Amino acid sequence: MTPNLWEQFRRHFQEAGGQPYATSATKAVDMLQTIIAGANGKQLLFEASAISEFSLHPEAWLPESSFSITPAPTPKGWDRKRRLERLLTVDMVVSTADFLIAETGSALVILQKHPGQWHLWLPPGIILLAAPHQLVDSLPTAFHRLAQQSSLLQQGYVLLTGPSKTADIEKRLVMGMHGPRMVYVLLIEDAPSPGG
Amino acid sequence: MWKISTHTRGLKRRIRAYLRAGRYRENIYRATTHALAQRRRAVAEIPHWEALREQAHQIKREVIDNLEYHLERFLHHARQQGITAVVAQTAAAANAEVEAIARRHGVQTVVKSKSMVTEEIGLNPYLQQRGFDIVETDLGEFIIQLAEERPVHLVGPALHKSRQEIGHLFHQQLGTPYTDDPTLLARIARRALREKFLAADMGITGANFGIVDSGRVVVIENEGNARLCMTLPRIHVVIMGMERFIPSETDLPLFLTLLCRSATGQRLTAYVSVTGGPLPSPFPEGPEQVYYIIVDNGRTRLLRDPWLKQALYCIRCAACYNACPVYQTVGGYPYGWVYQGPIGAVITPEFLGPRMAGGLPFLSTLCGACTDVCPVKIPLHRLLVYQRHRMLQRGSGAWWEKKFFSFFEKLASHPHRWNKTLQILGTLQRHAGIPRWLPGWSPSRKLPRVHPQNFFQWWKRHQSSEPS
Ligand code: SF4
Repeated sequence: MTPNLWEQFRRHFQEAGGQPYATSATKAVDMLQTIIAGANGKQLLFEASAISEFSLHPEAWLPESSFSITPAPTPKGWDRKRRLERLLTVDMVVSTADFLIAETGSALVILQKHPGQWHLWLPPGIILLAAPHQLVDSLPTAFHRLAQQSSLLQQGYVLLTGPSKTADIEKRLVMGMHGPRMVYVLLIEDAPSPGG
Repeated sequence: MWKISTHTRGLKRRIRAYLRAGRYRENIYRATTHALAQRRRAVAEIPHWEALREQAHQIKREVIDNLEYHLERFLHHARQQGITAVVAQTAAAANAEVEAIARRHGVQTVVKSKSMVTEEIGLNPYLQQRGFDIVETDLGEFIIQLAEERPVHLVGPALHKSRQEIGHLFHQQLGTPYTDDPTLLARIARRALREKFLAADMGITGANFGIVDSGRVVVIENEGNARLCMTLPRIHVVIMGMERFIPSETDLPLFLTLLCRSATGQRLTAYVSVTGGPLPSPFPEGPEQVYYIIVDNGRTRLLRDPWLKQALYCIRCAACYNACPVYQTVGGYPYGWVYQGPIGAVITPEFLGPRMAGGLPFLSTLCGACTDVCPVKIPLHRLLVYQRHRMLQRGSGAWWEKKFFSFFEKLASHPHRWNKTLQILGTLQRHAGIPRWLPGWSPSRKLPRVHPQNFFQWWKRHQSSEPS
């Protein structure tokens, strides 16, 4: 990892109201627990890919009633209303970022890699896990690398730069207008890069 | 519904009224100068900012020069993704299209994010009159909708309103206890709007860019309401002006950099969504149907004019609003329509005609601050002069003004007459103090003094005194 890139990302993400952390794979769960406790997160939702990619095993450190996993193993019987009601009870989501862009302090999320997507926009808190190989210097580099994954872009992608916010009342900044109020990025410094 | 009130004859009256609106002017001035300072800071981080502006100008020029080609390709790529994409020639056609979609899908509640083109076509009153519940979800627009007013600025629709006014408005309209705390006010709005989001069958958004080579659209925002409008309801309708294209996704970093830094002074807004077609099952957390309505409504008229077509390069950042001393002083309302500030003064006469909006190009000091800040290098002050010329040719302007300038032309084009006039004026000024007063000038400034020597006399003397 280039420490400078992380430093730049960290500063810019923080300036946008986001909360960046870096840790090692062995301490990832401890760090997650600290973040979740600090944000008073009671009901958690994990993306299955985040669990497998970063070996999180929530069942080992969380009571069964306090977390769920998305997508559920059998999406049969999917019901829009039930799904929304369920999501409105979630305090924090643990997901992954596909790129971190140092120039702007943004996390890029490719929607096809996150089956279902409402969980990214509705709950008040979101933690995005990332590996060092996902850090890029600038927007052009991110878009260049994105173009190499064109088969995954059918559903689009979103750049997230800090929490949802508004300054529509007398230019006073208020976080969490419609989307998450707390947005964390947790970089796992020694996460392996693909093929390496 | 707010009425179009751009009529040139009412313009001065409106300006006078807003010049007297102390609190309104204070809020506008504070907001615009704040936005300018933020922009300045964000732009200073990019050493090659000028090169980026030039690049964007060239890209937009190519797109607008070949608009038909780009439009066709965009439609083709969008349809390939299962999106229903149509072009609406007029505002009426665009509104009717939205209504037809809503009826086809049995829609009752519509949530909407900020979009200038929907203001332009008058979509909200159109749908309301036909029994639909249409709700603005951007906080500023929500405030404006509750107050039954119209946006005063492209980026900050309610920036003229104080938090006390908003507190009273929420108290009266939503029945919540009075508060003037912006955080609590935002929370009240969030709660009220969440219910609407969950009940809505259709979400309407604008588009900041349409990407020709992928058929996707880009929506830039801070609140996350557009993201919810495009993913929670069953139907997503995108309404965009037909000038909104950029050729390729690889052009996006350039335009995102220019737009976000110019509009709000952010490196990037909180959400930049690049959307595709309807989502395939089995996780249908997104719209089942996506529609694009691409609005002409007079844009091809602008396209035919070699000068005015440059106005179609606009990416609606509002930096020219903030930089304009006229806008800073009177805000958006005197312009009387959707598009305000320098770009509004250029394009509104084309949309509404010279009788309705012929006075707008004169709402400028021609200082050129707008041109300096425009991220796509639209020569706004030149376009304003061009529009003034066209408006005068079409017969707008006061009779006495025409008489005065034809008299002035006669004097100024004849050196002898001109020098004589200056001599007489100078003598009157020095010995009799005439004129003492000029309307619109002398109350706030000193009258300039006619110099006893004219330029030629000065030049002759200067040359003869120069050492050889
Ligand atoms: S004319 Fe230029 S400065 Fe004004 S809103 Fe459009 S892009 Fe921005």
